[in-house]
Amino acid sequence: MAVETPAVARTRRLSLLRVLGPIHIWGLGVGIVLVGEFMGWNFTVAKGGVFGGLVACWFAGILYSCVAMIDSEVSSTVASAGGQYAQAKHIIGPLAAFNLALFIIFEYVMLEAGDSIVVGAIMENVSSEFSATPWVVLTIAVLTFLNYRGVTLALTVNYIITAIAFITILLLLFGNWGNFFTEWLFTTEIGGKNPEMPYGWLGILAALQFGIWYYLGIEGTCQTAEECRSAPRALPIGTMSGLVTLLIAATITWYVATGLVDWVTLGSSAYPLYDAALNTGKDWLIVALFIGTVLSCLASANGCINDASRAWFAMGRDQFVPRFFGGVHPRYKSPYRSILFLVPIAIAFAYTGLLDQVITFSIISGCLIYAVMPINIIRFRRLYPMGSIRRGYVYPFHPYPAFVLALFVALTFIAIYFGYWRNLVGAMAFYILASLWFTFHRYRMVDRSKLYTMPWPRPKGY
Amino acid sequence: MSIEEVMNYVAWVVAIALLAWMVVDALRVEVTYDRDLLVSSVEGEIEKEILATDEEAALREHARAMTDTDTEVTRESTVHRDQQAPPGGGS
Repeated sequence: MAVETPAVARTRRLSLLRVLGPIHIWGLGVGIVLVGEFMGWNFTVAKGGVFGGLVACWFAGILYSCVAMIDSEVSSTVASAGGQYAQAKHIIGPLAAFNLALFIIFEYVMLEAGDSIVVGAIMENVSSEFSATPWVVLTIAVLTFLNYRGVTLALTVNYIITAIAFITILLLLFGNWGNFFTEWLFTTEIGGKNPEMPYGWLGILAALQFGIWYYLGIEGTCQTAEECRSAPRALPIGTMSGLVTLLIAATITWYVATGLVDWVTLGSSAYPLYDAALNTGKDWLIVALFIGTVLSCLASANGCINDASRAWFAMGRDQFVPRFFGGVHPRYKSPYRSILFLVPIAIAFAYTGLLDQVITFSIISGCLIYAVMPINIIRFRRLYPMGSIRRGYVYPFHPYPAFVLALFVALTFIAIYFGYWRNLVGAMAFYILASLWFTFHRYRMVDRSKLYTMPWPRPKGY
Repeated sequence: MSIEEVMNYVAWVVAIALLAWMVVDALRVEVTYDRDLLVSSVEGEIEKEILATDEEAALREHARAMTDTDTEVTRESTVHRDQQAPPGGGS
């Protein structure tokens, strides 16, 4: 009879399951983001008009192309759970890593709460006798259950519902082919203003903060780096193909929505693509877009649970928060403690029903991640020049994409400041207080000898 | 009571059941498994595996090159010997 020796027993370890391929990464990235095509982006039209919406779409497209390229290079090299957290830990330092983890967690937990609020609101719209609260809690519970049972189940479901939601956008385009942009949309001054650029270039600047709705969350693909069968292959392919999908979806969304709904109605719509489907007068398209709207919310919330839990898990593993949260389920190989810990937080924020506040906090947190990325990649290339370590993907034209990203993020922050300066100041105050807590209290408990695990050579200049 | 109100209650029941199942399962794991085992996951295993694979590949490449060299040397020496051997001779 074989007897396990004590030495073998001591070295036994649990780890996250390595099962994901590029298709799962695509589903995760697009799934989180696609809800932004079904709602939210249309506020660009309220601020910048029809053309302002298009400029914001392209502006955000360039910003996120830079994000995806930079993220693909670093995450295909630092292939660890926590994504940008692990990257910053190895490249910038522990305080930056701690802050990035918080940005990631709040970006995704808030987005999850926002998605579930929308599901509740949709149910109330279906019938006034439906109550939003049970459907909000049910959404979070079901999706948490999927994530608890393992990443394969969660992201396979995500891939399927994301693909269906994307197809509904294509259906709206081809199902109503030839009937977009009727004369009255542009020749009539609806709301007493020219629909093309009602507030000029200042309006377009104000629209930039909502333009990121088209792509917000694509950077979450690298949270599952540790669960990819081959991270250097799956992450760049999944992220880049996801971004291309979103660029197509965003352009189609702008085209069909501005071609079917007047700019004033569109600028204040809760469900712009669904409203566009209503204006076609075709029942099958209306049903398809209703399904697409619900599925996009579910896919987004599902991906958010996945990403937020990985960031919290990674912090737990490094003792930035109690080590307890670095636990892995022995059967499902999921970070089950982190997944469960974030449930009451998501429900609490969803229970407030303050969709605009919740989403604004998510957007600000996302922009803070993008603000650190240029610093991260420039430092990464300086410390570890080409050829010094193995890279799964090398992004082109360095350092220009990093500079473009920094400039565009600065413009977005200016736009956010104009519209939501209180939220911005509040968020910054929160993160500064958290940083003080980490620096003067928590970091003392961290075992620094176990913090840097990458078997890389000594950085250049050290 | 309308069908919508019934569905509201069903949503509550399903949500609470799922959350309760996860909490019970998590508690079962806590009491069944060793605490150190549950938090034994470490960062960087992938990178080490990649490097190990590279190292193995390099070793295989080296071994193949050595084998090829040996074969080449053997072949050359055979050819050399054959050239030196008298035609048709050897026996």
